Amino acid sequence: MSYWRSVAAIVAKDVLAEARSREALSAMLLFALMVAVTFNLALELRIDNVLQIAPGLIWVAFVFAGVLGLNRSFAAEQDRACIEGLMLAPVDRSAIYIAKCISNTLFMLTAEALFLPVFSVLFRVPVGSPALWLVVFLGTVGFASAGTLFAAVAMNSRAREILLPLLLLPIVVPVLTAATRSTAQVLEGQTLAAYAPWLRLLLAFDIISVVIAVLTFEYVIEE
Amino acid sequence: MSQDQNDALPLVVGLTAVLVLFSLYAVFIFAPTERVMGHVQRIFYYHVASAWVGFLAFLVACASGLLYLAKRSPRWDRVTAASVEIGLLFSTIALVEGSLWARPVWNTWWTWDPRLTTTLVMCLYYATTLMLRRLGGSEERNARVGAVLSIVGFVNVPIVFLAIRMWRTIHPAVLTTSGFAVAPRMLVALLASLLAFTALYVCLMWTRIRVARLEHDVSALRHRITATRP
Amino acid sequence: MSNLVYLAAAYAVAWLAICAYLFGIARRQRRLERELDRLQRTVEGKTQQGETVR
Repeated sequence: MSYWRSVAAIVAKDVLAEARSREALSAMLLFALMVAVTFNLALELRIDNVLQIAPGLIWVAFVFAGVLGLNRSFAAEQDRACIEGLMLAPVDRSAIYIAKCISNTLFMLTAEALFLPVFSVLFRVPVGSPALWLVVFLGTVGFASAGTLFAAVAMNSRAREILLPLLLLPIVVPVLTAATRSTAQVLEGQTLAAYAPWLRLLLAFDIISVVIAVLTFEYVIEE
Repeated sequence: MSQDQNDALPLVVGLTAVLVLFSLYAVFIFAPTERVMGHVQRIFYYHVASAWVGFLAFLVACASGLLYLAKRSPRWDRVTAASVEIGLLFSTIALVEGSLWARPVWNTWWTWDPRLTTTLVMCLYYATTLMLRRLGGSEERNARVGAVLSIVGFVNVPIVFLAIRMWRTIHPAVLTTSGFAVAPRMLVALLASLLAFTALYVCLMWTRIRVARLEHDVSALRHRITATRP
Repeated sequence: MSNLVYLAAAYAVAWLAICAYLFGIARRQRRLERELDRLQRTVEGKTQQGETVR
């Protein structure tokens, strides 16, 4: 089976499984909303300071929900030894990584796409601009690409749920920084020239992250 | 470890002691007193030296991680584990010293300044990788995963460096585009401290790797004995 | 000049931490060397009794 056909097959499997159960998606969405509401209670958001806090709040919600989704993506494979079945397939191990990365990105983007309109209504922040969605896309890819690698690392360990965020968050500091800064600038209505450097940083991180993960994934997943 | 290498250790320790004594002289006697902050500024020398050795250690860990994946020899895993441990030790020392310096000068023990925050985050990451090793799993898997984590984890170091450029910060910048922003005699003290701490790093690595080798031998011997039990 | 207290504390912390670490390593080393001795004697004991220890 050719490389890309294997990748597509794994992605299709994940998407189909998720479409039937919708477990991960609903968990991620509800958790993101809960985070937003909790922050509101804790920080006493008022109309005048919403724009200062909104970018950080959005990305914290995405990070927490994202970690939840990443944990489940490999946990589901461990159940019934699916991961061994995947590894027996006659295809480069990196195909598993690419497929998992794509499906994790898809799930996160879906949850984010459902979250943002609700957030917009609750906090009266406009989320219609395409620039915002570009930032969200690039940031999510960066987060998911590193996250998939570390999810595989944490997968076999007893302290799986703690290890993933502890390992992942230091590495995605550039993503969080660039994403929150550019989100703030987009929400304030600044021009593309203002936040283009952040977008470039995000793009560079995404590419480097995927390349390094593809190179190191096989060492992490062999038994 | 060969006997010759063990015989060289006292020499290295002796050299380190000399360098340390020289650095103490340089820091407390040779270096001038800073105009604004006074004597408390002398924390700077050990603070910077600790931080740099931390970065060096993590760089070594990254390199030995790559070597392990290439050669699969347990020796490189021992280097990685030792270097991460010692790097964490020196980075933590740097954070504490920085905090002790900040209290009289900035009037606070801690700020969420980017340089401090990214350093703390880096320490948490490497502490997690050390914790991962204790959670069990085969020696081979721990070595493999440890190698990947120390390779990827090295990205923390440039993040700490570039933190000053990415955010506004109250943390002073020593290395600027126009060269060292430090008086000549202070530079000498700084370099002396760097040298002394690097020598300390070598000593600590030496002893730590020797212990790791012992652990490996003990566990191998234990396996041999239990494998032949009826 | 209470600032000197901070200076002293900073240097003390550095040296204490390094010494504590070295002390911990030395202790581990002694424990491991004792263990290795004990295991090697077990191996010798077994080979003398005719058991093969590969």
